Amino acid sequence: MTGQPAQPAQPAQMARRADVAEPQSAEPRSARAQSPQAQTRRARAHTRAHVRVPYVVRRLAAFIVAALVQSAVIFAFLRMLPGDAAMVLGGTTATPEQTARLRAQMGLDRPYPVQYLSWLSDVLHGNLGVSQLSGKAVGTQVGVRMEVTLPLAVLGLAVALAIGIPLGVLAVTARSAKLRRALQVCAIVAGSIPALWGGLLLVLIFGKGVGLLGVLPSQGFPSGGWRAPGRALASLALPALSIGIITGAQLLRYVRSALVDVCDTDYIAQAMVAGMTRAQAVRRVGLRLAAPQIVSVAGIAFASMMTGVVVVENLFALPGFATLLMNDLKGRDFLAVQSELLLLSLLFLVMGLVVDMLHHALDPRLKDAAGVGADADGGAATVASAAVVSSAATSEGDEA
Amino acid sequence: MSSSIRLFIRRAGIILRSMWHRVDGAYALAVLMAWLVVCAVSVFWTPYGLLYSDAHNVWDGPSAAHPLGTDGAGHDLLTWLMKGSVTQLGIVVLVVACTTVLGLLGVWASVGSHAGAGRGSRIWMVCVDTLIAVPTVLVAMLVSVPLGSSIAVIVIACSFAYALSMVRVTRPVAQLAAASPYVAASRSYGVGEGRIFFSHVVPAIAPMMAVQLSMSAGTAILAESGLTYLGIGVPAGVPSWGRSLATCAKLITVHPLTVIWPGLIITAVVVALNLLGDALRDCADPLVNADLRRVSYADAVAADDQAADGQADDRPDGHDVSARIEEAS
Repeated sequence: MTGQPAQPAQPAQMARRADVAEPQSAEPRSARAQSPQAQTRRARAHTRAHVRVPYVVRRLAAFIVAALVQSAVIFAFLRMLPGDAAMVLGGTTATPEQTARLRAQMGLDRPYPVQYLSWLSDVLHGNLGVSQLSGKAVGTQVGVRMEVTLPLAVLGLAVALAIGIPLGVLAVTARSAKLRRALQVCAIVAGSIPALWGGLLLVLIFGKGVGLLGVLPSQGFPSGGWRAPGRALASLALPALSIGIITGAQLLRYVRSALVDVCDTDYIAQAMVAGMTRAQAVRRVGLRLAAPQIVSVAGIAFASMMTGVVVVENLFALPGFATLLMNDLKGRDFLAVQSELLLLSLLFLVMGLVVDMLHHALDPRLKDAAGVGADADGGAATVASAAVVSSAATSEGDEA
Repeated sequence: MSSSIRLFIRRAGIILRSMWHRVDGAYALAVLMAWLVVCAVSVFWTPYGLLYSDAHNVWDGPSAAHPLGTDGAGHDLLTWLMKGSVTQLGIVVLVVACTTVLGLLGVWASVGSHAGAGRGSRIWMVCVDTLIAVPTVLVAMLVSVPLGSSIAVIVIACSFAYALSMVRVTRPVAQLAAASPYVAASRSYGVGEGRIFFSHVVPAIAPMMAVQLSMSAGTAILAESGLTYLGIGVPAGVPSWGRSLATCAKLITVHPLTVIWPGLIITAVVVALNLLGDALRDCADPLVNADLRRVSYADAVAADDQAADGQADDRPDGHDVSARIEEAS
């Protein structure tokens, strides 16, 4: 789900920019020229018994380890409290024997490692357990709720990308210094708005009943769900806009600073020598060069959007996954919370994986680096995106 | 000793002055000063007591008695916002402190004692890359299971996420500094790893850390408002801006415009914190700020008449500069 919003934009750019790739090919060629050295280095590395594992495999291994560690952490945190699900279910009137029977029924009397492993194998078999609050299977419940949350998140990201990328480009290419400055100020201010307040402001402007314009519904989701697509979409419009605008503003700053960095390189100079205007060069060459970093940053922006998604679902009374999770959390339905938290964290781990893979695929330099040295590629993606993140904030004053 | 303190004060004065001459720096300083003043005032005086409730004017609009109106329990909104600024300051300071400690530990792990060449530090970086995709709210939910709604949830969740991003952002510079000849020289003299880290690596990443930390301070305020609204942040009955915003969210159908205030304060402060880091970094950098170069350590020593103890071992931040020059070349 997570990689999807980024994908439509990237391949198109790649295709379009394939024909203006001359400036870029300079780097791989010089790297190839060094290949004898690289080979000797590689040979030396082998004598040090360094096994060169492809990036994809290492990243996958990291993913699996991280997923296991997270599942263990979630399991441990949910057992930190005194008392357990059986006591919650039994209530205050249950006799100790009844609680013990419940505990045996739910398998809570087994030692923790056994419980953990059986939970893990259940999850791997697609069995997420049964909610104590509703008595329904957690899996089906989550499935129903995801019909709201998934479109909301995708719409939010789409809005963010639609705002962040074009305006980020404009903030670099605009002729008028005033416009560039204004875009930056807008980006900082809009990126500093709490999601809750942004949502409230949008309701004040557009919401039915309270708002000035009163065009869009501000509460709930149609009971028929997606069978009435128009109404469903309308009820998601305000929530998606409120998180999308805020995330888009943050994205704008990152895109802008990535492009500013790229503008200093010879690639842009080369493209301008070849006859492009600066704006064209930034749009055609710069954007493609910055694409890996933008993908990385979009991934981080998506993760940071999540707090907003939870808040906004709550504010607009949408029956989404986050509302379910918060309800279960408040209802102390720990067995359901355990599986739901695991699902959510897996979702983000998968997204991180997809983003890193995309970054790797989009940046040809990393492929070369992978052949040369192990520490180069582990760090390179990091360095690149880190540079963007760090300079995003820095470059506000640059153009003044 | 006194000469180095005097130098520090003079430097700080110059940095503040040059920040004041920039638009963004002036805005940031003004807003943050206002915040501190409100905090100080609200410790001694607020329009009403925190728990005073005006039962006759529940959910009231702005009036002479209550400039911002009252909430559903008759509490004065202005009082709650003022008291909330103290809580907010506490949260921000805690988050920044924890982020600094965790972040430095993370940088230490990523640089290691052998300039990042170790297998351990590489594995650690993969961990950081993987964990960075986990959103703050997820950590907060997890932590809130044992802790309930408490300020600790906000502090733990935020500092966890921000420390990771700090490690990731500062890593290239930290590695460069750790591989510098200064470090090799110090090591050959037998200087301890801890001292090397704090006197060579930390000064090199300090400007980036300043930017990151001030951004995290802003993000922490945003996270607080979200988490408090969800009921896993600041506990009920404790004033904070997020609490006021959540209260106003219920007020929206009664007095729509009352919603403006808490959000406006949060946005203004977060913008200020975002700008602060940039301004501070530019103004505290001797390469950018020429005024700072004019105050040398020698001047300060000379100015200090009783500089009998010339053995004060603070040095001007020459490492910082040389690390940058190295990086540039």
